[in-house]
Amino acid sequence: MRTAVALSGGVDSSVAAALIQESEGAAFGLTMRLFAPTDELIPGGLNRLPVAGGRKGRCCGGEDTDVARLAARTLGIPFYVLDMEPEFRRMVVDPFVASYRAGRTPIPCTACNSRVKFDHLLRRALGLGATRLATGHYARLGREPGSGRRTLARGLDRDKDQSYFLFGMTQKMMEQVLFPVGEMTKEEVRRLARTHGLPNADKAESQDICFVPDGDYRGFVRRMAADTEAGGEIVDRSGQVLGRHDGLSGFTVGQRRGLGLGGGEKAYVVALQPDLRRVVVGPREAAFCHQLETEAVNWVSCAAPSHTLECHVQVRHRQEPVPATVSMLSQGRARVRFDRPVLAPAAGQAAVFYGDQMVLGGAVIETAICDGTWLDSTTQEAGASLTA
Amino acid sequence: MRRIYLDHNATSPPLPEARALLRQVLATGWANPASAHLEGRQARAFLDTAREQVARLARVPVTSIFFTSGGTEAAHAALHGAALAGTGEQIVFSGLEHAAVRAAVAGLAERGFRPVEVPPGRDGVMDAQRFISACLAGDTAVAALIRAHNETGLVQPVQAVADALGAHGIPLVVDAVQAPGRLHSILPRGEHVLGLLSAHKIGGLPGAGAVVAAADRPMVPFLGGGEQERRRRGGTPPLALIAAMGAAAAHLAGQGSEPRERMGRLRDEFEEELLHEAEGIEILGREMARLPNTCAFLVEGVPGEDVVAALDMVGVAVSSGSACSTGSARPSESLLAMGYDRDRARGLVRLSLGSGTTRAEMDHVREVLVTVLGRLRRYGAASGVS
Repeated sequence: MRTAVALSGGVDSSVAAALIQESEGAAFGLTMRLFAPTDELIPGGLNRLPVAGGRKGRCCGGEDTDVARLAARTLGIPFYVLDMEPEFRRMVVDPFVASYRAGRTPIPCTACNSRVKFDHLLRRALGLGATRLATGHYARLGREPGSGRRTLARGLDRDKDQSYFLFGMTQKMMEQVLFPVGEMTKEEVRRLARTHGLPNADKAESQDICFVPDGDYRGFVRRMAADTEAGGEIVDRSGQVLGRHDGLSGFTVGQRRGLGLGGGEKAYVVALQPDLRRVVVGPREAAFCHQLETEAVNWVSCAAPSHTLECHVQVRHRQEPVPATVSMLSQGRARVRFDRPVLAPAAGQAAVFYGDQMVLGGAVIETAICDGTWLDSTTQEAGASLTA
Repeated sequence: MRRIYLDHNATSPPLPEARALLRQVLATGWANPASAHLEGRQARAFLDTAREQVARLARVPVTSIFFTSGGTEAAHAALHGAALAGTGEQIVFSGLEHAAVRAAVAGLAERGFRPVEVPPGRDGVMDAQRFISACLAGDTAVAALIRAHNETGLVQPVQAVADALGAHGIPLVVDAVQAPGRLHSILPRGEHVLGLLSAHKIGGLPGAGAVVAAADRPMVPFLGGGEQERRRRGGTPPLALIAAMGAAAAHLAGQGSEPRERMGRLRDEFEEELLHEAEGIEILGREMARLPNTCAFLVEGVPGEDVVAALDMVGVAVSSGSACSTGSARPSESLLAMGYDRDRARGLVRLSLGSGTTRAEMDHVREVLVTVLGRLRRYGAASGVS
């Protein structure tokens, strides 16, 4: 039995490694190298990811790799850096950029989890001789006694819970993955880190997307894209033009700032219309939706329901889940009807279905269907492509 | 766990002679070798001896050696020194050069020199005529061609290039860091040749290196300072490390061809058997002139760094190319220059033997390597398989 631990340089994964090493004594650490350093001096260099905010990526950049290495040394476990720049770019960064440009609001962390960490990295860990892969996620894995089915539940520390980002976990992944800190609070994790003398016991949390450490998604998307994004109109709900924008990638439904519309009543983005390249603004209440449709659902702790499922649905990280009815559509897709309207579910984000603490399943939001009464008739007809 | 060390091209373990001398220097040679007193003279004696030993190894006059803090500084000192002392405008370098040489060229490019990179052939060897033509096509200040490649071990046509450039008085920097103990001829002959040596590749310790350059060659010092090293390198030299380098050089200069030939036989047998036992392996330059201690191969569909990690955990130290980008794992620039794509270049694994490597060790390594490769393949960690 040998467990690989994915070390990000943060305190959670370091403590995960400490726990594994303590209980099994045969852990080794792996850090994913997701970005190429930007050393312009070397001629003939590789294609480089323009990391926003300069040379230091917050997560998994050079500095964090050093902390991860130091943590591994403190614990006395072998440590290796694995280059995953091409995979990360292909599976996470490029789709992220494309999605923003299509007027969606992607969550790169879910793609990173299900495609990079718990697929590519997991397979590499197994190839290196590990039997399992542990990470520092705040989520709890279990097993249903009767069926033997693997289950995924929220982390014990509700503030730190990351289960929303893990809806892509398959049964096979859950067989081979461990979340050692899922049963702990952040306070306990930090305390344990101090006990082990880990260098990152008091390290600040990283909040932003790791490859956009300055939080400027729009600037990042612009730098990464090969061509200039087409602009369009900003309209109100009746279709009247209020201004112009220079690309949908800067907007998310529910957003209020950055519209450049000047005074007047407070305007919120209530819809993005990629086909028309339009940003629709309106009062806050217009951004509430009562229904959405998803891409194919990944069923996690339970099998796909035959018809409908009553559960709680969460449409963004740190949102109180709302009672809803999930009904199955063709090709594994689903429709979610909320018992009460939800503010600004965004296409590209995830709708995760919870039964109490348990992640039942989840999917990427394809279309949110808001109260359409305010839309003009042309837009009504384009309703299927409306991505509010 | 018993360890088997097959990464001598990154760093060779210090030879017993080097360790012994290090202790002596710490006891009696710690003073400043430029000082006029007894303690200074004692320190100076160690420096002089080391210079004689390194000169003998390189088969050059003792005045042709000046010491640096290592191969990287030597590369900067030689390129910078030669380029700024002349009138040429361009710097010609091969696509096989080490990162230290590339960085020195890039630094000079910022000062106005035009860098001209000449790619090697697909076989990993520079075409001498092509390189010479590039040098003669412009007003070349200095050229750089590695003696034998640190990753593939492939030997480069430095003598032909040195002869042709020498006829035009163009200085040629030859990175010979991997050559001592592994090749009979460390540097090409020629008054316009500048050689680079590093202590920790030859059984000394990291922190010392040398430039081989004729005493009358005009050189602009890369590190200005005092009058040390005949004004070619300022700063008090790292004496203990230089003395250890000298001891290692003396050891290598005194040995015949037998250790090289033995390493070559072990390597060749290893490769022969590996090709029978493992699939999807391409050995680089197998039929060509190589450093006899170096075995470099590409694994199909498995990143070389995974092979390195898996072998490390079973007690075998190898590398996936140049160790010079610490902890990171970028594909070899030289393999890219040879025309391999990035995915293919990621599969590089390098074993570099030492003179103490045994047949039993190589047999054991082959066995565990075959097992490790089988497992890595089974999980399909290949890039592109998602």
